[in-house]
Amino acid sequence: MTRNDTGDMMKFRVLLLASVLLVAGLSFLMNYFGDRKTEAVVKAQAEEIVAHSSPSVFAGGIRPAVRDRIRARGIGARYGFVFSASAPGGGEESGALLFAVPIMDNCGPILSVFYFSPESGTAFLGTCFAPSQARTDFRAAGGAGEESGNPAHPGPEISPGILRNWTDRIGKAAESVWKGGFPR
Amino acid sequence: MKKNVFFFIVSAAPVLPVLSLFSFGILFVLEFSLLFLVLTGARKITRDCGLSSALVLPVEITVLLVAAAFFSGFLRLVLPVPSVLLEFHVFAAAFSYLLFDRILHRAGNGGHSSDEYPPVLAGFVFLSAYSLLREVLYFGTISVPIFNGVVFLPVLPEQALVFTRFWGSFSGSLILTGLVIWLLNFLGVRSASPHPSV
Repeated sequence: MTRNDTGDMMKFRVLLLASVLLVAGLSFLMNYFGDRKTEAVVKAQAEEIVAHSSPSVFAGGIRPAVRDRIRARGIGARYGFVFSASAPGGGEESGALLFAVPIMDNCGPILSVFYFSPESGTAFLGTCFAPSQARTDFRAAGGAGEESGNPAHPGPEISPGILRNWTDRIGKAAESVWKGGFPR
Repeated sequence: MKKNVFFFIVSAAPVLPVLSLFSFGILFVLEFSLLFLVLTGARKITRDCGLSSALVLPVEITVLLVAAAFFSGFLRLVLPVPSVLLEFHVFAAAFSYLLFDRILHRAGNGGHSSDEYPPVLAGFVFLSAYSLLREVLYFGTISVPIFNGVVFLPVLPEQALVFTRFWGSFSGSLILTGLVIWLLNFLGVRSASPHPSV
């Protein structure tokens, strides 16, 4: 190999490394901005589910407002979208939380919204992005708080056993969130 | 072709549970296409660079993970809710693809490697057909990804789903896949192939 060949190879390797770093940087930026967009979309979906839920599910019998996202650490990567929730006019210190969690059942993954408050415990509110919601002959996924749904039947997407399991898990996760004070 | 599909099913096992919607199948076909292009390109470059064989696998894994991270970012920007649902499986797909590629190399596969189109195309056909069948049988809809969301088109009446729903569930779809493979063998497609099929 001549000196010229070695130089060309070095240039090629440097160029290659620069390209890989460029793609990695681009991926980082896309994930950063994508995460902000995803947060806004998931929050909007959670707000819609809260708006369709029966007020009796919520602490104090008032539908809460969905507030800021909480970046809770140490409760598991599944709980990436946790929002604080409080009655209009109330502060975040009410302790209510909204969880948007992808639940895997026999039908596949379904994004489900749960409400937790220290007074009323954990309640399943409904699902986002479920095909059954697109059908004209099926009203909604029918969460426990769904006004026109059947509280005992969470819809075709999630089986009652899986739902019970997740309700317990989210109750425990919510307690962990509150153990170390309110995360910001 | 059948052999390639079988290898693909084995290596794509981590992503099969989430293939409940046709739109997810399309997204994985897009991801596998990206991974195919990236891995083929990376192979050519490592060959040209004269990289030692011990370094080839770590480089391939790194390149595939960067490509998966890129695709994950793209999904978050374009389809936010599906990106939350598929989150870890987007990265699992990178390992599935590498496994598929390694199995093909080890098996010899009649001179094919995943650098060539036929084995990859067999996987794409399987992904699309499997996700389409699951969605139609379980939900009675066909979903198509569009910018910022997914459109669901109802194709089966609600009453029909009482009979079909089990076959669209994950466990039912695996039984159905096994039955289809057995049926294809039974019907003599096997004899048409010059290579012994699995």
